[in-house]
Amino acid sequence: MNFRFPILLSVLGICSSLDAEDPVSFNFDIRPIMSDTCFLCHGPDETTREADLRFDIREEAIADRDGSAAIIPGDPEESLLIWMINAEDEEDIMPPIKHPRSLTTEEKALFYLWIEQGAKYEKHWSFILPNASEPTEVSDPSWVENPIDRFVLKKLDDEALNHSAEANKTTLIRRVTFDLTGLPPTLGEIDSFLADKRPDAFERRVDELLSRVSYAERMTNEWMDVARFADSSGYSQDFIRDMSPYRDWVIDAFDTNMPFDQFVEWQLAGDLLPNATRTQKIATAFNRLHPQNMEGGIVNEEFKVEYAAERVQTLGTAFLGMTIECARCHDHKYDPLSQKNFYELFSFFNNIDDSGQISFEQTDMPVPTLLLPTELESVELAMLDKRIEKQAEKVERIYESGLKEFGQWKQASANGSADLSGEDALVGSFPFISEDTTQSIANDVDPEGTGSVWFNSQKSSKSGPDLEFADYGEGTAIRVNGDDVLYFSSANFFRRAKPFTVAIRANIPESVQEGTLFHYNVAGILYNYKGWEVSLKDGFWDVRMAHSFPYNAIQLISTEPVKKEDWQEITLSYDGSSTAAGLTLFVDGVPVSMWVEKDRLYKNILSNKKGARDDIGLKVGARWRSKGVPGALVDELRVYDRRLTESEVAHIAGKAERNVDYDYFMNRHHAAYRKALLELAVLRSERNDLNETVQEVMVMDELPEPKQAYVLNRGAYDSPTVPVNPQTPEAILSFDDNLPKNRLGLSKWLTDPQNPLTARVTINRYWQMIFGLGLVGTPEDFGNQGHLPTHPELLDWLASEFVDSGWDVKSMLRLMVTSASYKQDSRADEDLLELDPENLLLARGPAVRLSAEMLRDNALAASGLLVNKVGGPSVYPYQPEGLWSMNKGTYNQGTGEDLYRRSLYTIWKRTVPSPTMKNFDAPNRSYCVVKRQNTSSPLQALSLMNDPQFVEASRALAERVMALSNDVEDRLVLSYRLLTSRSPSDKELNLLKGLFDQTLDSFQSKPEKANTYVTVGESVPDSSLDKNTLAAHAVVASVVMNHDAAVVIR
Amino acid sequence: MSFHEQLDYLNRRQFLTKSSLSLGAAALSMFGNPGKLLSNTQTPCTNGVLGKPHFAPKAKRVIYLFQSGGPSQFELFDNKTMLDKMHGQELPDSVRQGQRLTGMSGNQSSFPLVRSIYDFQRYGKSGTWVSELMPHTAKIVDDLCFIRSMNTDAINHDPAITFFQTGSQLAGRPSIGSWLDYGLGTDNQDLPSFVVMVSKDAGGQPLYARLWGNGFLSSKHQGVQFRAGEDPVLYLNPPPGLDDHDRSQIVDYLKQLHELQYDAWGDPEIHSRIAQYEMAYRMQMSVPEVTDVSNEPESTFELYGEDARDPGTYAANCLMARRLIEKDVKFVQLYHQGWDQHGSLPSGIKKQAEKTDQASAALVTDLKQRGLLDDTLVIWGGEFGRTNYSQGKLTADNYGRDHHPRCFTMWMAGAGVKPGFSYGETDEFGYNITENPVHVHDFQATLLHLLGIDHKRLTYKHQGRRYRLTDVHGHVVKDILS
Repeated sequence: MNFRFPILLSVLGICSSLDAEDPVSFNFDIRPIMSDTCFLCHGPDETTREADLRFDIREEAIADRDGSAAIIPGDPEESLLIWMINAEDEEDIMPPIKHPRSLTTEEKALFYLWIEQGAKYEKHWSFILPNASEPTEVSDPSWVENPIDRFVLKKLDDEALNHSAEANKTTLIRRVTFDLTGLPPTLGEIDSFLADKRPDAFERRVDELLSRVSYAERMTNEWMDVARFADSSGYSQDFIRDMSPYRDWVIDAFDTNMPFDQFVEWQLAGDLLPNATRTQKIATAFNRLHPQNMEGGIVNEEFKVEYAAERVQTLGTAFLGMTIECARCHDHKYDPLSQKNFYELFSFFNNIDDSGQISFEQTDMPVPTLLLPTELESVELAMLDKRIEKQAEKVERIYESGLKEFGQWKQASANGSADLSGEDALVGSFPFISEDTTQSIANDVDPEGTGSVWFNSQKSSKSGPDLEFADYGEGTAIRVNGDDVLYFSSANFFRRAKPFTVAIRANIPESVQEGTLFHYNVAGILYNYKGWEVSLKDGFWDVRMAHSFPYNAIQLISTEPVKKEDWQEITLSYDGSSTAAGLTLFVDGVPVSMWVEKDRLYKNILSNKKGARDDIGLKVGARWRSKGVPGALVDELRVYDRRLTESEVAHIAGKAERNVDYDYFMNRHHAAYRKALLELAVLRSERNDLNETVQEVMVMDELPEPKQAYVLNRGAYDSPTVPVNPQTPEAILSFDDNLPKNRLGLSKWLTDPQNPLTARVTINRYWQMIFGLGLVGTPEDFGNQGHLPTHPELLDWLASEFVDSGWDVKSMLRLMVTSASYKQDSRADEDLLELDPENLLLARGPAVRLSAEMLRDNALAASGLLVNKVGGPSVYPYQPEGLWSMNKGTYNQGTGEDLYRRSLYTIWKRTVPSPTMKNFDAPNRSYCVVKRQNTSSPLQALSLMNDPQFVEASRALAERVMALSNDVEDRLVLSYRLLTSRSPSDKELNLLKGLFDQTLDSFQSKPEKANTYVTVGESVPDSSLDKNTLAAHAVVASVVMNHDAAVVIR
Repeated sequence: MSFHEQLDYLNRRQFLTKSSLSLGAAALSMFGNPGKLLSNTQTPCTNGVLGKPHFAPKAKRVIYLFQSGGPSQFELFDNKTMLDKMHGQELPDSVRQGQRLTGMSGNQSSFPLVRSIYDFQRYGKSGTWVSELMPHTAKIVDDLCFIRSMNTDAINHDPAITFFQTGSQLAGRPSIGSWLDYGLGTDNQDLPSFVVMVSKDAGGQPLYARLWGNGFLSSKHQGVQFRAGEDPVLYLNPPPGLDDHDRSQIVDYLKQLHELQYDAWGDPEIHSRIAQYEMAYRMQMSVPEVTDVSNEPESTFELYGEDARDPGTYAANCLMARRLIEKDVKFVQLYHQGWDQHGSLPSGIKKQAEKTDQASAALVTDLKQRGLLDDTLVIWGGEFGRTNYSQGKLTADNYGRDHHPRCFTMWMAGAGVKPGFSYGETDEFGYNITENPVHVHDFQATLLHLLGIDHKRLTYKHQGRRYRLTDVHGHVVKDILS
């Protein structure tokens, strides 16, 4: 690709003479104007296209229109475009007056010239594969440290500018240490670097920095913005959930310098790799970190669509530099991305068993999830599994060995000792009699354990209608109304390790197609169906047992529709195995044929909230905020604390002859077998309890059958139109047919050397990290509306080099920071400042304000408070009280080490982020951000001066320098150096001394002030120090902390 | 005009001559805008991007009393005799017309219509219906402009309140106040131009900092939350042990250090840092002054109610809003949570009204007395309305109402809106709008209009697209303008 410095940009330089013969570049001169002014109505989006004219495709733009054309190559005078943009009448002019942007004279001139020169089109620059060779001729080859400098110098030569001298060593080591590790250099490091006279001293320093784990933390911090990593779910009450294992995986990946293509592959598709490891699966959490909603009453599908769309948006911003999300509701207005393209990408990401409404149970990680037992837990779990396996074998052995005893018992029982009533296990029996009231529903087994009615299926509702009874041939039934639930608090023993059976007689009206007959849930989808239930769905039986539906759950659907308008005995039995095979639904004593829809229950089925757990109980006829079975008649509810056998169930249903079989005998009469079953339940229960404490993270787990995706009209979840399948935008790169049509194929497509974007976008982001500004100033948008690269050849060369290096991030960063371009002094004289205020041409080194995290980490590091502990759950440093109360949260401030960890580990609640971090432009982490804002506001000053974190650090720093020296001046110099890496000038030192003396005076005249001031923060100052002196030094440290020399890396 | 018509038209008008385009190097070198590469330069400036409003503004300041949770229009302002008649009867399908319900009441076996348990009367010269829950508001109806035909796209709290405050249901867009600060800048160099206050201990539905967030705009445009207590703005006060004298000394020395730094580096950013610390210092001086209500006369507390003495209450925040407006703070956003009466509505809404009615009315009255209502706009409203049917069981003295996005009531008062006026009509069931619907984007367009801003022309280019508060929608509701 042959880039040329665009005409418009030439004004940056000493204006080279331009005339009509100078070629106009479509990519650099024309398309940006077209995109910004024409494409809205004459671009890729068909639905908003005016006059059937589009300018994004040459053939269309030059097409004949009754003898004329919008563009006639070589003939601007006859080209309609030229007329229209020059129209004098407001009604005629293009772009129309109402368009937010109009054309300048020079832009009109460019159009004229371009058409005159033949109106040549080019593929959009970023869609052309990188291809650039190093410039050979530069003015000052001796300055060149590596190829980067050749490109930079070539540009400076073109603009007749000089590069700057190298920054001094102190400035350099501060710059590079912050850029690579996010931390300041220690005084020892500075001194040894200054003393190191070897020619490769800087390179050695760089290599050493790149080998530190703090490098990995720094890189991770940057990636957290991209991955929109946070500690909370992001909507409504915004529950905290711990996804730190993903963050720690990222740290590890950077620490081991994982090749970037692999880094991408694991995150997008680690679960799809052959024999995927636990680590590869953790990496896929990348796709699950988007905000998720637990607000009651939302539409599940709407948010499932939202989440998948968000994954596509992140893909676009993070890897492709494309605003793909703009094509969600209509074709992209500026870039060749159709709405179909969007949903084809969407179809890579919608194949997981997630829930649009995440559970209101705060402790339940939104599914799909992966359990991450520690080594110890793994051993313990394995031991329990072994014991369970052995016990299960024992149960089986006993079962198989009982035939002889069965024969003996059968003989003996011929005279009627067989008891198929299940009464040995009957723990609740509710006959539903006309004496029952909403306050008390009789229980034959336990007169105290009566049932009652919860009006509106809510404990708090105190009033409602009386029970309605109906007499039918066999007695009195209750007619449920579908809203007010029959509630049996005494039946509250259901656990997933414990066998049980529940039976009820019911007559379901024809009108009920969907609703819950009986259940053990707090609510339906609000708690992701936690518990178990017997319901109707589309007229079929739907039996669920769930921790968090749909992924962590069992679901059975009957193969035949539910019988209506007739009495039937409905029985659910469960064997405690947490498997679909262990759940059996009987109708009239006969097992119902069921499809197994889900069979993956691996966590508890009981609420973790004590109140909810105490209250839950068995319920009949209705469910809170769910459909019940209005009009259904119910009778004879019975609850058993073991799995009843088929013959018992049949007997209770009254439909079968007394069929005394072997299974019945073993379960009812074989003492050793029954004991072994109980022991098995105990072991399972023990295992389940241990399992509950295991760390759990969200991951991707592909559904076995791809879910059909559709183009959604206007992006609305309920307006599917054309079916679409996994495919990538052809304008970028066609999807290789040999690739699997899933996320794994997608990740291979992304890092295919033929993909023109991924390497460019990534290397640009890292360039931005090191140089403060990307070569493309809009790292999120490499499309028509994005900025053009300042150094196109350099960007291309870097991208190619990145791929050729095996996507080696460390080596690319090394290349950048060891370039002469990077090492330049960042000072600019007035001329250069005026010419290039943003340093686009790189005639000087970068000067960048520390990020929110670096500011705090600098204070902690300089003061010696910093705790260098890597990884683990996020921590709760100082924060003003009460901030979280507006969405019912409580901030439990940490203590000790937790107050002094690197800011990477500070808890991030999306709806109420840390105020100091926010003030310094940390993004919300609600969506992928690849470029932080850089603002200046008075709130920043307030934070830096008065946030206890910084006040305490100033005092700790004062203590530190007091311990190092007895001389005031020495101490002041040390303070200054610790915070800024350099020594103060004489003038600066004089100011520090003046401040110190005045402050000391002030404290000495009012020692109680110093006494108070030095107590800010949790750490306790050394009591042997003079408090006034300490406080005065702390004030000086605080001022230096706020000083440009500490805040800006120059 | 079609392409061909345009062609014909232009053929008739051969206006283009080569001379109209002077293409010499000199002309090119004089090009003012060197293109997008340089468009990002930030200048430290307290004026808005618009420089001056698009046209003469009616309102110079806004106080937005956000009633979070979705207050029921039926118990407050929208009197429906049909509901009296049909109390307890099923909501007719012909009225519901397949409207999406939330998962909270959508599964109910019946949807009984419910009348307001509170009585209505007509008040003022305008004869406006107001319920007995709002006796103070009732007294000022002739100053208020009611919109009874508000409607929104969202049916759940989080998306709905985010939509109202940012124009989008999803997180990430700038809030109204941020747009104003970005567009118009500030009229007060000592206080933030966009202040937010949340009633303390109100409970109810969650709020989120993004509601007053800057979205993709610079974070300097974010709302600054004023809180009850010692530190009205986070980190406003110097650390314990340091007094005003120390504080000014610190800022002074810092400035001297910065001047030396500027001498050494010549970076204008350093001057912007000096200005930043001076502004912070001025805030430290002026915020305590504006938040100290001890100099307010007794009559103030008679007007706003005794609650106004208790910092952080809705009443105290209303009083604070007036004090901030007096200092030319441009946008004061209050939030009062707790209007989400799914159940036990009669008792719940009564408590809400008791906490807010007097102070809301007092604020309008107070501004009027001070002559500030002429150029200050006051807005009262929530994120959606509530259903005409009962959520949960309808009993003799109890019922609930679910979220209803299709119609609800807001009021505005002051600068540029018609006083004693009601706009828009709902059907006799209070379920659908029959006349003059006002969508959230229309409301936002109107709000900007009153401030002198053409909502289509206050834009910010982000991710390749020019965004605005009203997205691609919104019409100014001219009928309510005075």
